[in-house]
Amino acid sequence: MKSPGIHMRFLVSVWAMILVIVVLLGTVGGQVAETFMRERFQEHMGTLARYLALNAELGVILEDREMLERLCKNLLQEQDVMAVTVSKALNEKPLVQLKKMRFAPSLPQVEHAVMLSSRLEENLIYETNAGDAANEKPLGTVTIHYSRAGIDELIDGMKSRFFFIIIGVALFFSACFYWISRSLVSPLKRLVNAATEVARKGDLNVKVDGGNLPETRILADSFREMLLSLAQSRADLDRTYQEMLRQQALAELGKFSMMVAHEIKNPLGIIRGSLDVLKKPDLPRDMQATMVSYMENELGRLNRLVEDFLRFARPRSPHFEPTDLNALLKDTIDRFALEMEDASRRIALDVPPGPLWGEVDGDMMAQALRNVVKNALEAAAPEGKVWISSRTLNGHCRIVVRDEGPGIPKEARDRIFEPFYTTKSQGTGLGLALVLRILQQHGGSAELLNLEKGGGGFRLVFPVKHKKDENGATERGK
Amino acid sequence: MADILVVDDEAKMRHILSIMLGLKGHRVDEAGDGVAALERVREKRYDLLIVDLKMPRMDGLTFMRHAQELDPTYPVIFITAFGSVESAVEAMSHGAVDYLTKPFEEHRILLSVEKALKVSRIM
Repeated sequence: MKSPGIHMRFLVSVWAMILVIVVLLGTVGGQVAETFMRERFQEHMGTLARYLALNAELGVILEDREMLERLCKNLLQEQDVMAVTVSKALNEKPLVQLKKMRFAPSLPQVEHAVMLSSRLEENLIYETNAGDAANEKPLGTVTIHYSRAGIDELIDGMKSRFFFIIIGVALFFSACFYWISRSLVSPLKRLVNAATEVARKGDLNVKVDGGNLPETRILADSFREMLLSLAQSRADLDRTYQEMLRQQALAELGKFSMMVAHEIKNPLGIIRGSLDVLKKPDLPRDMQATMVSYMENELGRLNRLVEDFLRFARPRSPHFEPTDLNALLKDTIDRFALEMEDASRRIALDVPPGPLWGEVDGDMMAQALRNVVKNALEAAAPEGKVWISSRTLNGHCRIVVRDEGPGIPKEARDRIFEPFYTTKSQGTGLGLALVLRILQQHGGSAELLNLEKGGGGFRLVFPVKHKKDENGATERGK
Repeated sequence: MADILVVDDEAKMRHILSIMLGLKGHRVDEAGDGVAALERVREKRYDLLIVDLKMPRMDGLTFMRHAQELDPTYPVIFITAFGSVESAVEAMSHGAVDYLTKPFEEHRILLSVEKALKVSRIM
C-alpha cells in the first residue's frame, strides 16, 4: 500500500487534534454552562417562592383569599410557573391554589414558609437569634410547582448552537490548516514532479517553482543549481565521449593500416621477388613457370583481400529464401576439397539425413561457414581433424565446428570477433567479424566454445524461420 | 659461399630468396616458423639467418633471442611487411644486422647479405 504523503499526514494529525480539542472543550463547556443555568433557574424559583411568602404574610394572617389570589395570578404570569398554592398548614385545604392547564402533580416544586415579617426582620438584623426564629411556628406555606420545559428548551438550544459553532470552528481551522499544509507541500510536490521529469525524460531544462516559502525557495534554487551543474557535466561527458570516439576511430584506423600494410606488402614482396627472379637470363623453363604462377596466386590474393574489405566495409542486406542448410554445408566442404588436397580427409561431417530447410541468405551463410571452417582447418594444420555438425532445436539451427588445433589463447577470447583482430601471422582479422555480423543479420549468434579437452570450436545459432520484424533489429549488427 | 637459413611463413617468399641466394652460390635452408627454425639452428651452425618478424608459433624476435643463446654473435637480417620505425628500432636494438621491409629489390637483399657475411667473417 502506498504510504500517505506529508500533506495527508499533516492534515490528518491536525484534524484529529482539532477534533479532540473541540469535543473536549465542547463537552466540558456545555456541562459547565448547563449546570450554571440550571442552578440559576432553581435559585430563581426559590426567590419567587420567598417573595410570595413575604407578600402573602398579611393575606395568610387575614385569610384574605382575594388578595392571595392576586398575588398568585401575578406569579403565574411567569412562564415556567405551573401552579401556586398558599396554605395555612400542610395538611389543611389550601387557602388559594391556582394552576395552569399544563399542570401535573409530578412537576418539581419549591416550598417556603410564611413567617411573621417582624420576626423575619429581627432575624435579619440579629443573626444570632436565628435559632429562635426556627423555633417560631410558621403562619403557613407557599408552594410553587414549576416546569423545566423552558429551561430544557433553552439548554437544548444552547447545546445545538454550541454544536454548530464547534463544527464551524473545526471546519474553519481545518480549512486554514489545509491551506497552510498545501502551501507547504505544493512546492515540494512541484520539485518532486520536476525531479521525476528529469529522471524520466532526462530533460534538464525543467522549470522549477519554489513557491513563496523561504525554505522551499532555497530548495528550488539548489535544485536549479543542481540541474545546471548536471547539464554542465553532461556537456563535458558528451565532449569527452566524442573525443573518445575520435580516438577510437583513429586507433581503428591505425589497426586497419597495420593490417593493410602487412597483408598487401607480403604478396607485393613475393610478386617483386618473382619478377626479379624472372629477369635472370638462362632461367630454366619450369622455374619461369613457377614464378609466373606465384605472381598469379599473389595477384589473386590481393584481389580477394580487396573483396574482403569491400564486403566488410559495405555490408549488403540479407535476401532470405528457403535454403537446404545441409546441402549448403556439404557444398562448402566440397569447395575446400577442391582447394586443399587433404581437406576431405581431415573434415568429419555429422549432419542428419535429408534436407534441413531454413530461411537464410544462402551466399552470406555459405561465406560465414567457409570462414569458420577455413579457420578450423588452419588452426588444426597440418594434420589435425575438423568436426562439423548441424542440428535443429526449438526452431533454431545449430552448427558446431570443432578442430584439433591449439585452441584460442585466453587473452584473445574476448576480442576474437573484433574486426582487424587476428592471432595469426597472416590474415585480415575480418573473417570472424564477418561471421558474427552475418549471424546477427540472421537474428542469430556466433559463440566461441570453451572446449575442456583443448582445441578450438565455434557454435553458430540462428532461427530456421526468418521473422520479418526482426530484420530491423538484426540490421544493427556489426 | 655461406650457409644461410631463411625463416618466413610465406613459402613462396622462402623459395624466391633461396633461388636468389642459391644463384650467388650460397647454401640455403628454409623454415616456416620460429620453432622449426630453432630445430635447424640446433642441428647446424649457419653463417646468417634471414628472419621474418611476424610468424605463427614463434615470432622472429623470440627466435633470434633463442638463437643468440646458442651463439651470441649470430648475424640476423630481419625482413618484414610491417614497415614501422618502432619495429625496426626494436629489431636493431636486439642485435639484428639489418632490417628490410617487403617488398624489397633483389640487389638490396643481396647487398645486405654480403655486408652481414663480411661482418661475421671479421668477427
